[in-house]
Amino acid sequence: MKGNAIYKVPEGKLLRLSLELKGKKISAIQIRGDFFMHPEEGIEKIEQALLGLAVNKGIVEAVRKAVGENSIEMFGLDSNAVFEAVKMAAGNAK
Amino acid sequence: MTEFRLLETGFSDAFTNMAIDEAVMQLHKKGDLPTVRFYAWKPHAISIGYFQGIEEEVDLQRSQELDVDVVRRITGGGAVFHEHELTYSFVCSEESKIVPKNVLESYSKICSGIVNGLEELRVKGGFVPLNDIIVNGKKISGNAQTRRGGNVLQHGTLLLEVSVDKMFSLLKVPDEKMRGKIVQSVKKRVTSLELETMREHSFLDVANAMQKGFEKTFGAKLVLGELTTEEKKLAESLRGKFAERDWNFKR
Repeated sequence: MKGNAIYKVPEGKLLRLSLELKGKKISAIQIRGDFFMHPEEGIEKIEQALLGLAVNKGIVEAVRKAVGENSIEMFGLDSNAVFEAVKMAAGNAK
Repeated sequence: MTEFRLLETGFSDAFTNMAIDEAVMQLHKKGDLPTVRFYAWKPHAISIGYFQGIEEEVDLQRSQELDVDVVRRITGGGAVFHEHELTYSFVCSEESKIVPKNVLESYSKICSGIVNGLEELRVKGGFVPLNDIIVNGKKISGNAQTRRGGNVLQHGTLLLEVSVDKMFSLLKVPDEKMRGKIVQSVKKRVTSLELETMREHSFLDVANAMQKGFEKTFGAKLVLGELTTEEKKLAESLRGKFAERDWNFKR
């Protein structure tokens, strides 16, 4: 199943998220948008950290862990925004 | 007085412009003079942020029809249509402490070069976090920064004139049903030097004003220089990357 979401982060930028689900677990994910992240390669670390997770469990924690481990600074999005976008995308997955 | 190097590279294509910015940043060594560069885009071009999806942001067919180049930046941020604008870039090392370590503060500091430049043109602008410069409540400049290899690169635009309709004929909107409303809304939130001063400004006038603006911000003299042979070579090689389909269609 594939799903997409466009999520406007409150006081932030526009997050566009695409994911693929195998059962309830994320098998592929891409986070796009007009936000900023330092280092820029952090986006791939965050995406990798979400692979294999169920959409309603552990998303925020996984993002926070990836951020901490890779000293990532995010502007215009945060771990909650990623969670909201994941839920949205999963919600309209078909 | 401290000296910075000033580069005026004139009009180049999108891939060359992005390659020069990256080459200057990559080759910048601690102790080198910071570089301020002013440039423009020919042909007109769209640049998208590092994290954006090219096909969902840009009407690629229409861009091709209008001979507008499309390039992915190494900096984040949004899609920008580069037409009648002055583009600047700023490179220094993090260790030099010329800009604050804190990212938001560094945006503010570098943007103040443009704000001071606007004052030279008798336009009152202000910095709005994270990365905008506003005049009379409307955006006149967008900026984007990256930090790599211990160096800071920030580049940004200053709108000399703006055509929101033309811009949106080349960009996609999140919801096509809302296109009319979105375009109307952007028209109210974006401005240009022409609109704010009711005058035309030549690129040269604006560049001179921005030069004074950066000199005031940093207490430095901007001395006109050139790209080194090494920078030119690296830029030529990096141009290849920016022109590659794999790079631009990465996301």
